Amino acid sequence: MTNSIQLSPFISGAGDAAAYIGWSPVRLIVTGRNEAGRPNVVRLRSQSLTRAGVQIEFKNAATGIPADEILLDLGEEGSAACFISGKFQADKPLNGASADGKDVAIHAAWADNPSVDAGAMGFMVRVRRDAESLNAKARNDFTSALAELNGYGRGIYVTDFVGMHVAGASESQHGDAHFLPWHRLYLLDLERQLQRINPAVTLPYWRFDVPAPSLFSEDFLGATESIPPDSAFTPGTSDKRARLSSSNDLSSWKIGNVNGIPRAAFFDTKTQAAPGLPAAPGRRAFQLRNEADTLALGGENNEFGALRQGFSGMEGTPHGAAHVSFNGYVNFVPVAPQDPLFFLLHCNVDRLWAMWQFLFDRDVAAERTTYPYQNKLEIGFNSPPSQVGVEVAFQRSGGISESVQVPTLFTGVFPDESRLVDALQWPWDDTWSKPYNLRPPGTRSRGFTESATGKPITERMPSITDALDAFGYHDVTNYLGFAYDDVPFDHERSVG
Amino acid sequence: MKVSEYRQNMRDKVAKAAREIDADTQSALDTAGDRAEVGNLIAIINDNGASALKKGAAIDALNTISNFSPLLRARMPEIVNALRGHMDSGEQDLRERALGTLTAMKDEVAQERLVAEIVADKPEAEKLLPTAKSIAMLGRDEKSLPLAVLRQVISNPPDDACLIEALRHLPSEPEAFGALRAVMENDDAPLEARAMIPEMACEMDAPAFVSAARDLLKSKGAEHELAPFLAKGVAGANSAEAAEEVRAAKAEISALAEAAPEAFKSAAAALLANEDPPSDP
Repeated sequence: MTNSIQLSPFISGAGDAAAYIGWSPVRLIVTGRNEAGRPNVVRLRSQSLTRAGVQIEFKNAATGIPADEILLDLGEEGSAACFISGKFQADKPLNGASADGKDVAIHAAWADNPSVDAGAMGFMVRVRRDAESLNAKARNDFTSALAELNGYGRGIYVTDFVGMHVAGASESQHGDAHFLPWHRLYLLDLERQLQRINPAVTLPYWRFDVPAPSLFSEDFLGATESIPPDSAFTPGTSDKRARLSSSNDLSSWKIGNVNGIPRAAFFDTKTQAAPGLPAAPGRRAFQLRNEADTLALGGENNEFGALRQGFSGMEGTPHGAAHVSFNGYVNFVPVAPQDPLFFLLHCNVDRLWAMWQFLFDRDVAAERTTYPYQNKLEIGFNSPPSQVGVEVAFQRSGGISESVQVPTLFTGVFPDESRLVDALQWPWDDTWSKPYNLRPPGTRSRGFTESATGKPITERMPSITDALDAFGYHDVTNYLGFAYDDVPFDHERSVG
Repeated sequence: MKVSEYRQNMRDKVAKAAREIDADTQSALDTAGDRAEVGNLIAIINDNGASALKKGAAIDALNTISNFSPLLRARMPEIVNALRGHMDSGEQDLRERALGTLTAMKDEVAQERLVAEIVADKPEAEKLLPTAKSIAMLGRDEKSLPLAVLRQVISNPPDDACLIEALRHLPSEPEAFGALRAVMENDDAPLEARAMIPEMACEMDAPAFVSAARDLLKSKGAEHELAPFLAKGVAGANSAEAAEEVRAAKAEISALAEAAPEAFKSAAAALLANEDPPSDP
């Protein structure tokens, strides 16, 4: 057909492989030439391919409110760009996101002949979904891709993704404000690997504050036995294992030489939410914060905060509390990713952050309310001396020994710059981890996974900044290529 | 509903949130950021006058905050020393907590003690920890579990739990194939143990495994509880030496699948889907 219309999402020449979008606007390049003498104007509209009613919206510029269809003048060049996004529909299943693959198409017709398609492309409104809402195909796609990355204990899941979340790198990832952005990047790196195997896959999230019977079943992440709430807490181990059906690809899960997933729950996974670590004789409870309480952590001014104050306080609970709701790998940071449940738990942690950002407009990288460490001074003065200081001992009168922590700024030692807003992050930055000076494991050094459907990371070394405007409010090209089913994009406040 | 309305609804819910957290949880959060409080927990573990219950609770508290406290690393030598002091505690719960935490930290002293206990010639009840627990704890650091120790447990397991744990941690060394085959063929061994073996055995010696799997399928049929796992194991056999055996096994599995239970059919379908497409005549 000589007057056909071509559609290229994200970049010119991109094909079907890039036809995966979320709620954020992404560029769609439209090329074609109408018959001689006819206006070179294209009409774009979307059509749901299933009864789920998934829709795509259109707008001329990155800003502004989208519409259900658009007229686009390709001009003499025969090419123009518009912006498309998945339409958030709170009354539809998954809020209007796709269930398990491409289920919505963009149809392109010449405006003077709107009843005849001159081009079309199938799309998936691909977002991270609640694990409980996944249908069987989506669930199997996920477990199958995960098992392939696991490579029977020798794959990149083990060499790289287990290998980077270890004791020797704990301070590069935990204990302060960098915890959330670092883990956002970590999840995305893994998700992009999964999408290389199957582009319809996203990380599901485990809503740990409500029951998740489907997730904890033999066909998904494994039926998980309950243990009495007053059982001993055993870090990184359990004498019970998640039970997986023989048809579940995760049934051959292995880390190095070790088979299976040790995991037992301090709660009934079929009927209860994760409680945190329950009280026991002599032991105090460590309870899990629910979603609303977590989103309220920023206080009156909705501050991100540092050192587990403000919203960053969610590192303690619900994050830490969700981990210790179990015995097994998942309750102990240096080995937690050996249980794939880790990534679904952290996906929910990241979703809560995304929701908080959405509710309170916390995505301007240069604002302290979005991320606290804007310069070295702020790290030096705001962090506890034990993290960035040196201990100086002295004797008080009467021979009493005491010591004080002196901030490193006053002792000539640099503060931990890896927490700065623009700092490149280990291990992708090809440096050494903190505190134990590990080299990047596997292929992660300068190796953040590339994607056709999200921001290309400069030199494949992401920084904290990359994680802050993940949904592209301030520049559409910042969109990292992921979204959550219940965190829409607010087009009314998109500014670039 | 417009996105702005959706957002306002969410914000309204957040505005009503309780914000306060229970006192015990708040106390743990405070401890995570307080050097003196961390020091107090260590002092309790070291305190000869404190009860085992109190010491165990202090260990649990340290383990809980270890997932987010930046203060523990600097105190790690003190924590390790305090825990080592309870490796031989007469209180089993305290001993288990101490050894469990130390081995999670890959502490070599605790690792060596547990390996010695596994191979010690004494009844299970007299060991520091049940052998299955010792293996599970040591398994967090593969290097700490010698192959010879695992093979010893597999050939003479004190109980089913030990057999399962030893198999879980067994490296894919060809010399262990014989022991694995013996367990795989033993219907008295727990299914959880036998189900692990096909894929492990296939990694060790694919031709020998496929041959053994064919024998088992012939003698026990597709209804046998291990049959789906055998089919899955055959699916993983992709070495050139096993090619002939695999072709024969696939034909047999395909024939068995017709009237087989669903689990076997599903495993067979996955196996047959991996087959090379037939070449054009």
